[in-house]
Amino acid sequence: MESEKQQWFEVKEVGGSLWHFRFMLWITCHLPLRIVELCTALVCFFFWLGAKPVRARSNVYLEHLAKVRGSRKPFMGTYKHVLSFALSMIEKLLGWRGAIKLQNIETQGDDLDKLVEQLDRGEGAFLLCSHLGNMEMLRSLTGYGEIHTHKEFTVYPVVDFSGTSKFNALLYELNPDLMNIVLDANKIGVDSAVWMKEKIAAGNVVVIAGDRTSANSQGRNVEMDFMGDKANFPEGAFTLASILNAPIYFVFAIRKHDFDIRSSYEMHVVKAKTSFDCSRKERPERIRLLVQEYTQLLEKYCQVHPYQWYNFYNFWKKQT
Amino acid sequence: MTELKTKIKEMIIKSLELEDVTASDIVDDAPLFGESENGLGLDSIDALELGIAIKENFGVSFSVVNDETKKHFYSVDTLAAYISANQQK
Repeated sequence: MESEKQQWFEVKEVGGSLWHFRFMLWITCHLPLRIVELCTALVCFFFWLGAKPVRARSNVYLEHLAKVRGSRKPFMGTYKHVLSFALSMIEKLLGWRGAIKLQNIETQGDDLDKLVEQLDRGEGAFLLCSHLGNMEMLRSLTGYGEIHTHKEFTVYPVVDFSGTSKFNALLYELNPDLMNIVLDANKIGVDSAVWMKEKIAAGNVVVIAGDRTSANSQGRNVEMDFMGDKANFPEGAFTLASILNAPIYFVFAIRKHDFDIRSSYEMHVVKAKTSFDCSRKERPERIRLLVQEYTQLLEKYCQVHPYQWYNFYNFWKKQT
Repeated sequence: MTELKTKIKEMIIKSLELEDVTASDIVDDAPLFGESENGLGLDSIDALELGIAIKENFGVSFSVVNDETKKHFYSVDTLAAYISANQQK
């Protein structure tokens, strides 16, 4: 049971020393992408063979998904899931080295316009993203801003560093400027809450993942129907939304082709119906509604791009 | 100082929407957080909101050092001391 308790965030960096990541970076930068993809597929295969707990958790997710879609579980699905995750890491490194190309992003004619209009008025926003697709793409919003909005603004990401310290050290080397505007999700206190509120009031954007799980977030959960079963989502990000009380948007940037890192992206922006212009008493119910909106969208997009949900965590595990 | 403390208490009651609590019910040196006999028993979420309320009402922010912040949030007394020391006249 003890090993079962060891969750994904503790397993994530198995065998990963900074040296490994550096090597990975070198390969990524110096070899043709086709070869990089091939190498990744090979390395992943051996990782996949050896990583039983990861396979097991991936399997739980894919089983739920198959039930919802009414289809059979795909052949080698857990391997594809791991491979897709590895590709996303490479994608991340590439993204941090250089600018994200705007022409690679396909907007969907959704609430993105609302968001842009709002930012143009100098009003900030709170964005809820997820581990589905590439979160780095959200940074492109600022670039998008240069072209489509008149106002300049910054995207401040709230990130959980606890599981990926070495990888993050490398990201820092690649782009120290970017790392300086990142907030550590495990250190949110009075100071950072005030700071975020001020940043949003000044017309900027704060973004956090709603499907974040870490050792620190196992306290408060919201139980929610997710892929046909009761799941527990950590409340933290949604509580933060309620405290900051800014307009909330859900954002998803998903690779169009699951296993091609040169693929273009589709960016979905949906404005949340839930707001927090209510008394504190009503707040828990509003938080529930917000989680519900979020999980429904997540479920919808997971069905289209199952392997791009980089969450190897059992959300459906019964709380004891 | 007494005036400031009353203001702080009123701010706590208003921002946290505490019902059946008046400023005179809050003891100056009682711990605001956690279980205690004469305290309010607030939690970490309440702390975040108090921080925002203090910024809005008194124009005072808190440093990045969290342990220090905890000390300032101990009671109405410590909050009053911190606010009066950091408030710009």
